[in-house]
Amino acid sequence: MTSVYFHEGETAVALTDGYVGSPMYGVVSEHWIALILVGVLIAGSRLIRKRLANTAYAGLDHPHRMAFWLLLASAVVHLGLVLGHDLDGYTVLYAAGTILLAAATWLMLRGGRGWRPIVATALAVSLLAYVIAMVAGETPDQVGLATKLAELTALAILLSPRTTRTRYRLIAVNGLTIFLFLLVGVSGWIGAFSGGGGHHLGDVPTPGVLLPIGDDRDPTPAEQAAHDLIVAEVIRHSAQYADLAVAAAAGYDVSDINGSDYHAANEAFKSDDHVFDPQRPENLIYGIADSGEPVLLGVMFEMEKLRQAGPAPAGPLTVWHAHDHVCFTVTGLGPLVSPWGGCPIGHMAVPMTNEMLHIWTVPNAEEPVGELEDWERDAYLSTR
Amino acid sequence: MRILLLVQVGIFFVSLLEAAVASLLFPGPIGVVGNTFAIAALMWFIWAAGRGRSPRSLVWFERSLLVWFLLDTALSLGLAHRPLELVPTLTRLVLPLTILSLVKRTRP
Repeated sequence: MTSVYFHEGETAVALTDGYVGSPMYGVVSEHWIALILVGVLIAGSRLIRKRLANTAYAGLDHPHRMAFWLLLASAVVHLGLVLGHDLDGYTVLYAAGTILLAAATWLMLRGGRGWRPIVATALAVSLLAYVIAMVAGETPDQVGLATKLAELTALAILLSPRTTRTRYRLIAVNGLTIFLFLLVGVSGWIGAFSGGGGHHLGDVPTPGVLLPIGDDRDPTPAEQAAHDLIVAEVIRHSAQYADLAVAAAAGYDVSDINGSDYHAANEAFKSDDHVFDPQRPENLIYGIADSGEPVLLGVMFEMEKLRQAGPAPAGPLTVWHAHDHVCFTVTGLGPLVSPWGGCPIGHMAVPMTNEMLHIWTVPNAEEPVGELEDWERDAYLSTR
Repeated sequence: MRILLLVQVGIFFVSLLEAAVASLLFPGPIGVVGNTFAIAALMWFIWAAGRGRSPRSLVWFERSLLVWFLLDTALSLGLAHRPLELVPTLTRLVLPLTILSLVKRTRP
């Protein structure tokens, strides 16, 4: 079962044994009660249906009955969020959402005239509130995204004309539905990336990154000395690979360097039983400078087996990471798994990679081990 | 069924956008071409559903989505020891299965 790891008020989710990842691919612990309540709703649905026999529900067609259940499920999830969180501003908003969606459900059951636009507005408000929260930096999780999926489907049902003869309305509803899916999906990405970042222990990883579970601490003098020694050794040894001919002769694939973060792999080094050897890094990292020439930016070490923890001679200064939810295709890497849970057609999702560690040879890099900031890389490439 | 197909179009549009962005970083048009094809196919299925028809190719389309999901799930269980995730289960298992059950119901 997915558990949660807290760090300074932020939340990361333990996606797989020993690692934390982005909450977007997991369930935050405060949201489990919402899932349990939905389970109770599903279990009691037969009984509820019987009780609804004398309401407007009986007169609804199949799509509108589906919209009713999706709406009710969303109201129940919002109730679960109220129960699962400590009292704060968001809890008040969840409570308001519960009341709004429950009232919309009741309106549907009451039937009569004019309920449809009111219920559709309630759903639109709930979706809009989610988009605003994501853009403001809240991180999505699977419960939130699944609830929005239910709301989007219910809204599409309610807005859809009953006959396909109303062509312009049909086109407008189709366009609006697709736009809303894009809006919620993109806002999910914004929330997921703005709510995480960093490669230190205890950081909330961005989507696609797995970090070992642990807390950050200051390095000991011995660890700092080990860090300085490793970095110096990597810089000294890898300087030769600024010459692509030397890199190619050593077995690195430098035939098609492109972009600003190209990883040239050495397949032989990936299974040579040498781990974290400054003289045998598994990958070299190049970027194309403004002059058009490839420039060496650093190296990437890679463990040979899945779930094999990398050595950390410099303690918190040598934190390895893995990647998850990465899409691959026959031509190589693709995007990350979408908030709606899939890769583009023609891709497979690789759920986890081996652990890896970057060491940057860019002069005066803020953190030579770990993450090179984009501005540091771009500034270096612009001077070369 | 038309609306559920529309939901799939929305989901594929997000993937198309991601594939387009990714194609700027990583070479290869597979994601863009694949998703454009899937969206075009779904739009045709929606048009047919509006006329009360459900083409045989819709059944194969949904079945292939299910096979793709099962392969991804097997990989996830095997490599990451991770069970089913909620959203992919809804969008890639429940949704195609529901559409297939509706196709079965509408076919003579």
